[in-house]
Amino acid sequence: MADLFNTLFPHVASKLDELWISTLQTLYMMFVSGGIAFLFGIILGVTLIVTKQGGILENKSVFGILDRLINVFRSIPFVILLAALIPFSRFIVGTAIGTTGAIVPLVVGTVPFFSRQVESALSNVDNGLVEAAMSMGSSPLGIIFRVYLKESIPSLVRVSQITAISLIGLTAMAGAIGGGGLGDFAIRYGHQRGQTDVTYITIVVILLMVSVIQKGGNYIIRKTTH
Amino acid sequence: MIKLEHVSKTFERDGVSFKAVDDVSLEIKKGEIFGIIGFSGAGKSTLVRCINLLEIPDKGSVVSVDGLNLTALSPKDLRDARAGIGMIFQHFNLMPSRTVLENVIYPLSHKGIKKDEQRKRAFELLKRVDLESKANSYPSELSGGQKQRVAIARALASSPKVLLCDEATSALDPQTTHEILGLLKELNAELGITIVIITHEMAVVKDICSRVAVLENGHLVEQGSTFEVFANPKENITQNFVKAASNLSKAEHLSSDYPLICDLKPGEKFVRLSYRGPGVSEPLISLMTHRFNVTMNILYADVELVNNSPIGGTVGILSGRYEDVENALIYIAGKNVNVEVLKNG
Ligand SMILES: Nc1ncnc2c1ncn2[C@@H]1O[C@H](COP(=O)(O)OP(=O)(O)OP(=O)(O)O)[C@@H](O)[C@H]1O
Ligand SMILES: [Mg+2]
Repeated sequence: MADLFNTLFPHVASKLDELWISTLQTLYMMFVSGGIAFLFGIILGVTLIVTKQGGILENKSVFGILDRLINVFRSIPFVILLAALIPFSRFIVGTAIGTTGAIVPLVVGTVPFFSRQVESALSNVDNGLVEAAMSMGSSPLGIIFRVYLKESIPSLVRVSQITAISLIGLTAMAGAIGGGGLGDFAIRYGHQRGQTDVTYITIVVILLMVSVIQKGGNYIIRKTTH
Repeated sequence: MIKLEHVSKTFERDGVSFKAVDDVSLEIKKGEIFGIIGFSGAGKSTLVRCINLLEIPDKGSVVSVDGLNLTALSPKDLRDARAGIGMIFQHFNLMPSRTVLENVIYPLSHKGIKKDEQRKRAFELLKRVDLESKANSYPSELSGGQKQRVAIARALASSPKVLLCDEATSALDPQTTHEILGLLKELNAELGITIVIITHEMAVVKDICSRVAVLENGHLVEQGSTFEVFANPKENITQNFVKAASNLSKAEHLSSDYPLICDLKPGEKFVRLSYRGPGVSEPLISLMTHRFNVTMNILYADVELVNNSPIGGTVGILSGRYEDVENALIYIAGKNVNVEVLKNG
């Protein structure tokens, strides 16, 4: 077993520690930026839904501004966003490099995409349910939590899966520039030193992460779909 | 009493405005079952949504059962007032992610009621609609009729004084429609709850409503007791609705679908006689045929219950000498029978 591993991945054995640290760094970026982006995405997605025409808190100007802002940020390529956000990142987290420095661009790069996904998930909630809740005297806040969010848990999980997987891609890129993470690891050894097996091992680790996201998400979806 | 005064609602869409409800004034008495009938797009849903102010009228006022002027309330007070007006819908609008019990609990929670009290009340309501065995099922596991009964239980949870039903039976088969209407009738009798029924089916009105209003293009064109409207529809649209719900309208089809049956000889008339009350018809017709020496070949006769009062009708071919037939019809029309000559021979 160990022999097989050494033949297949000759350069990896000596870097197991570094692989482990890189994995942790990627997970750190995923969880922190993912968590923050999730919160912002839900808030913005909900805001879009309730302020749009016919929404329970219809508001043309709030919707218009938010809608355009999201479109603008969505159209900026992530690599450019990384560079552009360096001063802002310094201001917010005190650094623009390393895994912590990557958090701000990761959040900014993920939130617009995720907000749209949340918006589309919530827009699938039957208007009749909102109407019924209103007829029972629910407040706008009550409708947001007890109807919109509660009824779209399966679709919210689904869009979170998609966003989390694309976030893995972004962390790889962010790592390459700021240092740290699996992307950085693969580029330094696999690409720059031609140790292709290192690249392959990172692919394996990332595939594992993706499948955990997919399996876990699907489990929740199954449990919450009736 | 619910009182709508000069209620209008205009929708703006892409710069085009559309008056869905136009100057409607209406009084619905406490404890009655009131029907609002109209074709699709007439503005029925908009009108009923104006009653609990899901739609804010741009003109007019709405006063609810307890004398509260809903149009003058703050958003918070309006939400409390809405809890006193139950509503059920054509597509039931149950929350798919919640069990039947949780759906019924929905209006009770976040109201400062203890959890086990909520459950108890929800169970009582489910028992009332005969569905306690389904308490832990999800809506997707229920039939349409069962879903509507859950929706009724949910609407009753906050002990409303009014129940609004927007096409509540339109998605159900006739048998289930009958059951749901029966349940509504019972609740009306037991709880004294005022019920407003929106429908495009006169059969529903005929079955359950004591009074009815007819809505056409956002206007109220006719209203009155269901019996009066049925026995004596004034507007064209009302006549169409009545005919659609009445077996006696089959006469029309008789003469067009089976021309041979109604193959009239010169002097013969194809007539429809309608009258109120049961048992009036036969003696009158036999009296008429004897007295004027005419014969009546009866093709169809029926007595229908309209809101529990009978309306009778006879369709047939009247023959005899021209003058005799004319006199016979004048005679019978004088006996408070509505005479329609559908075809002349
Ligand atoms: N939110 C809205 N915006 C624009 N137009 C609307 C809106 N709601 C209703 N309308 C229009 O108002 C008219 C009346 O609609 P309403 O839903 O009250 O009709 P209805 O009598 O209930 O019809 P149905 O039997 O099909 O339910 C329709 O022409 C509809 O297109
Ligand atoms: Mg309608």
